[in-house]
Amino acid sequence: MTRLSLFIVGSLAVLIAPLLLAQSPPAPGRGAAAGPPKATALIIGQVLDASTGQPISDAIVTLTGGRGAGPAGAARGPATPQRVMTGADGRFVFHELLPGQFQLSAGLKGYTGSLNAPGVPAGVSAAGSAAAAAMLAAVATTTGPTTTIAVEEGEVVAGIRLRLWKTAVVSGTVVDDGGEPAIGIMVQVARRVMTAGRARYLPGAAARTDDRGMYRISSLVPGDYLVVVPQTQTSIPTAILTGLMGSMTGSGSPGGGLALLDLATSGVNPNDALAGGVRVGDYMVASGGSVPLSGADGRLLAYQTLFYPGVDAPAQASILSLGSGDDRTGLNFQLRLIPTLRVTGAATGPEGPLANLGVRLVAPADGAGNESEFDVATTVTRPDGTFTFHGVPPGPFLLRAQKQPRPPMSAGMAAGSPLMEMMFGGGAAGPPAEALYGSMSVTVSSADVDNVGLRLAPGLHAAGRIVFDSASGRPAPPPNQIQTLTVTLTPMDGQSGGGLSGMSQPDRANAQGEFRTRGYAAGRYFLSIANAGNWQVRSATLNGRDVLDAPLDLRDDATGIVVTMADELAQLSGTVTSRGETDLSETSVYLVPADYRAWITAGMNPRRARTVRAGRTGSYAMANVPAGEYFAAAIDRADEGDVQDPAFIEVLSRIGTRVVVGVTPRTLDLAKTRVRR
Amino acid sequence: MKMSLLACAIIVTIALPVQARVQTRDARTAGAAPSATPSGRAELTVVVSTDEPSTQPLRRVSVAIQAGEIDIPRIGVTDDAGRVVFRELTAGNYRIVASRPGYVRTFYGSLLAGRGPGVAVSVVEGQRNPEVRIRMLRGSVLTGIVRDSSGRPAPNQQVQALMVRTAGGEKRAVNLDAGIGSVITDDRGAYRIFGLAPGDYIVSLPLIGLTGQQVRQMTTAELAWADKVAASTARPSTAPAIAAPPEGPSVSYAPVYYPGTTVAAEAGVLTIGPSEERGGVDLALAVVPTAQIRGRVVDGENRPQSDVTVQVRPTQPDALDLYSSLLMRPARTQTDGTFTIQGVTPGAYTLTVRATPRGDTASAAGPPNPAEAMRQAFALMGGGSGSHWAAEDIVVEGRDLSDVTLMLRPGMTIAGRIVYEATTKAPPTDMTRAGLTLISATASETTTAASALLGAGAADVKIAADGTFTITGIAPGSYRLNTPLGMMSSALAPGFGAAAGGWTLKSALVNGRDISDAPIDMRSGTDVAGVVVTFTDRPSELSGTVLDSADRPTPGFPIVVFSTDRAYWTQGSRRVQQVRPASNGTFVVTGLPAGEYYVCAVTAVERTDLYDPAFLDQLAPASLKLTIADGEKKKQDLKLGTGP
Repeated sequence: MTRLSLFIVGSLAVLIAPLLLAQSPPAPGRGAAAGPPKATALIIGQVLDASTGQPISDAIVTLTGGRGAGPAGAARGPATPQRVMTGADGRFVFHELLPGQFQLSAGLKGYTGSLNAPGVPAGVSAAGSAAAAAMLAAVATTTGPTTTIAVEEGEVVAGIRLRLWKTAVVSGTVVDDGGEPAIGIMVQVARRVMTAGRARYLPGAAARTDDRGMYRISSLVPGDYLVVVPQTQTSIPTAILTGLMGSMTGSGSPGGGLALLDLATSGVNPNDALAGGVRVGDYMVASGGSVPLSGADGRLLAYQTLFYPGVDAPAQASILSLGSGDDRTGLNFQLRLIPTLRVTGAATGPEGPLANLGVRLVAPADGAGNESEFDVATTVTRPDGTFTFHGVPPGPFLLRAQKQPRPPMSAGMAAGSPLMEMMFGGGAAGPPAEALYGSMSVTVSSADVDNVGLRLAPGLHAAGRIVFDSASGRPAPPPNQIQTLTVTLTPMDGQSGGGLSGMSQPDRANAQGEFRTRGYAAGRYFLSIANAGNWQVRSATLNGRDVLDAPLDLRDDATGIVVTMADELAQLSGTVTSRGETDLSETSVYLVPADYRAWITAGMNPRRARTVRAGRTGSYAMANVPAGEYFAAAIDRADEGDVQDPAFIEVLSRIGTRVVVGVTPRTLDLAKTRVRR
Repeated sequence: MKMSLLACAIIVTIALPVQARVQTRDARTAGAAPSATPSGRAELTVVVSTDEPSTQPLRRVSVAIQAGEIDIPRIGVTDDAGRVVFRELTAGNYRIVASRPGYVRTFYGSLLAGRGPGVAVSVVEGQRNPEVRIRMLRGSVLTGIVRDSSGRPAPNQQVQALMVRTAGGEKRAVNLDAGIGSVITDDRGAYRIFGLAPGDYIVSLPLIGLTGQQVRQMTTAELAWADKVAASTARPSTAPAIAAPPEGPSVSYAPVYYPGTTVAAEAGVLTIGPSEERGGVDLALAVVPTAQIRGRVVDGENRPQSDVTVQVRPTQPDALDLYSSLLMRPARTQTDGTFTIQGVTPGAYTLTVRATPRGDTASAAGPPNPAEAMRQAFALMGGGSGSHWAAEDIVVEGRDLSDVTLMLRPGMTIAGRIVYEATTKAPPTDMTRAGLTLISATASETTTAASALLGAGAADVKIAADGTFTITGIAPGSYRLNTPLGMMSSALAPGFGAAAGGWTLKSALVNGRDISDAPIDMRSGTDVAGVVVTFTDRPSELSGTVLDSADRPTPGFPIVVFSTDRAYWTQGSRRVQQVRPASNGTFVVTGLPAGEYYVCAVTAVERTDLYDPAFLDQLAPASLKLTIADGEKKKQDLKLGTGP
């Protein structure tokens, strides 16, 4: 690959990356209102290693908040965060603080502030972006969850302890099929997270083997992991690359870059094949970033995705339970070169063949877990909608494709950027107005599979209206406020859409409260409404059936959903006590449904499970709790678990206090309980 | 001046009468059109082995062969005997590159490990082509440990090795291919950079200050005071009676260069030998005091300017520091025209703004849509967009600066027209898309290429359908005018012949000077008019064969072609080019603007030396002088003599 074309491909990757991660910018903070209270309060604390109790120097402690104590909704924008670096004794002080609520968190590379950190951000976990995810994971400093502290005028809050846990490490050696060190091979961990009671293994931190074949993946938040040598066989039509170069040099037609944008909207990352693939027919093929080999019979040989200890299916893989500071060595792999097969087919949508469509071949869900997040192979359709996967190992697979509407960017990008105009401008066909989804099973055994017909259908919509029902007779919000309500469907299995799907604006209601969502793939979803200010969802029904706590099963368009918003703010608050403990800020309070078995069966809607940190004095408060019967439990943060894990819910139900939350504030004091798991 | 720059004797170049040589010409020299043959019958075998005394065949080497700059390379992988065969090749000159992780990328025929372009192998149709042998060097390794200020291992820190080249007495850092030089430390603070070519390197923690956050360092005085207040406060709601000591300094991690400096110019250069493993290249994180810079942007009538972006750049960028611009976060002005930039590490900086003044102070409504946001982000690469500019130099030494005033002044204008010199093609009727960009002549190659790609020129270009154009909002400085593709080509792939839609920029003339190659100096208050930008569909071509003293075609020596006018010896100039002859000794240089040139064969040339006047001055006396006319296809063979 030449310097010029590499530069272009590299630049495009850079250009598209922000789109994948794009979020609407936060509203700018507005000027500070000078108030009468004096800035005289003080917060004093220390950052400690949770395992050893030793102070941690050079940790960055961040203090945010300090918003006025005015009525909710009238709060001013967040003040600029203050950051301090702890000294040798791990201590810190923030002074000259105005009265208010503050959030404190600590961070240092090599440590985590939470034993239950969320996985990789949604959208980045889409297969193919493993490298991006790994980069994010490596560069980010994991900042712990925040401790909330309310201070009064002149108050001195001393003795705050912020605990950090040392992260864990896995290491080993990878050798190739000939026993030589495999150099530059990516090794990745996948962290086990529970969604709706089922395990998912989210691709996380990764490292490449060095010139000795050795790898070392650090900064792992304690938890259960698989170690993987992922190998995705990536194919892309050479026409896309020649089209790109043609547009660049003016020798072809403009708009060659649109193909790459189309790929991004279908969640496929072709960079491997673009940057260093082998030409096979009219495709460029790359194998996990390296070059695939040809066997004696002309078939491609490819390395197989391996899970430690050298198995090819996650179900047979060893699950490593990593604790804080663990250092697991000797996780070695020998790569296996296997003969592969070819899968060909055609993708069609409602209006005919789909060109430049990314198609993924993934391992389907099995008894142990969800659909694999590691793609076995990806390819891209030709202009006539046909596609070829090269380098497919035998096995049962799911063929998946989606096409999201192209983000509205061409017009703006072309302005002032002649090359962008060449790349993205010009007479390209208009984007599909609707998202399209397709999925089918394919089994590859001993022969090539040809003429697979993959049909993509428009996404399904949820539509209905939002009504307001105030117990206190408060009028419904004005239309301009109703228009800001957003309606979101979250897949019950947690599988993200990938690609650019995260970029588009959320679906909003109109001034009358009517809404119609974008198209979603068929499946089960949880419905949620956000941006509602003081209003809270009380119920959502479709044809009289609950679709708020129970998942909405989208098989056809779901029209006529009625969402009722209420202004009763059911709140649960109280104080946690613990013998011998004066600072309770390292306490987590959990609330899970009392009928947890039914809740688990219905998909564990996160709306009905809550976690908050107690304050220093043990006080805690949960706002907007849906009415119902719950178990509440207070445990140490070191015992935290995953509220989507049925086993942990069982634990909470055993130690929890039964409480009924109605439509009025409820008080419940709790004793901190030790958890043995 | 270091004579070792040349690293070779200059070869006296003797002109040969053209008609004396009747050479078998390959497809490329026969004409501009690509070969019509869909698939050829030629075969090429490449055998790769280790470059060691006891040479071993190397398996699993990716061998890429490529005939043209923008062709998709063919890639093959060597078998256990280190052999790969390319079949069904069309005739042509193929460049061959061998890659294998852990080994130095090898360009066939290049004398410099890890660097191209090397010698192209001339593949002849219907002929048994000789086997090409490539020896690959095991890459060198750099290892070390990164620690924080208290000696603890620093995990997850990016460590980067950059190659250092010296040109014109200045050391310049050069990025290595495909991210070879960049790694992240593990939990023990250890790093290992491998696959390096022998050469000079600097090692640094380049992006450590990237967050740009203001962090205050705790002092023992502060903590002692806090303890005293806590002890004396019987109950909450009692205001502390003791005055607080001064707060600790605001600090940030600064980029650090081995062996332990935050100043790029003081970086130690490590000379790494072939296949060497160098350990102990340890680095320590450096915490430096930072300052907050506050100021405001006003127009000529002192009215505050909201929503404009203020950029910070080192006043004197160091050629060893490739990332300073990334570390500086632009600031946006508030409704009252004020801006705040936090976390500025010590150094000399220039604050710059490009904007169109607005009379009212009302803030722009709402956040921009993603496309607009992206366009604005691109524009920032070129310094923003607008009719006016402002710049202010500041020196930061750890203390906050306030009241920096940036007053917008009208930018300069360059005006002219576009002319098409058409011989075979019809010129476009609408010239608005001809594409012109003005880019700072002092920008690095990467910046130039990226600015061109993104359309982030240093000024706003407007082209009318009839080809008249105006470039507005130009700040004082030195600039080149070219097409975006021309800029990219000059920065990344000279000689690639940037022909957008078949049209090549021939010249951009002001008073007889071609400002596409020789930068124009724009001074405050002086507009430039009457620029004539000419596009042609008939680029020139200089071709020939290099022969040794026994009249045998010889591929071993690069050819340097450069203008006899020193004004054009500038970075990225089309009038200074180098080309490697193919294995049959033939060479082609396309797109040379009309003029008088020196042609010289040398034993080796570094790209960074190519524009160094000292280097070219040495070549001139040994060169052959010739003239290229507009659109001329000139043939000139070169015969090598013995050096003086």
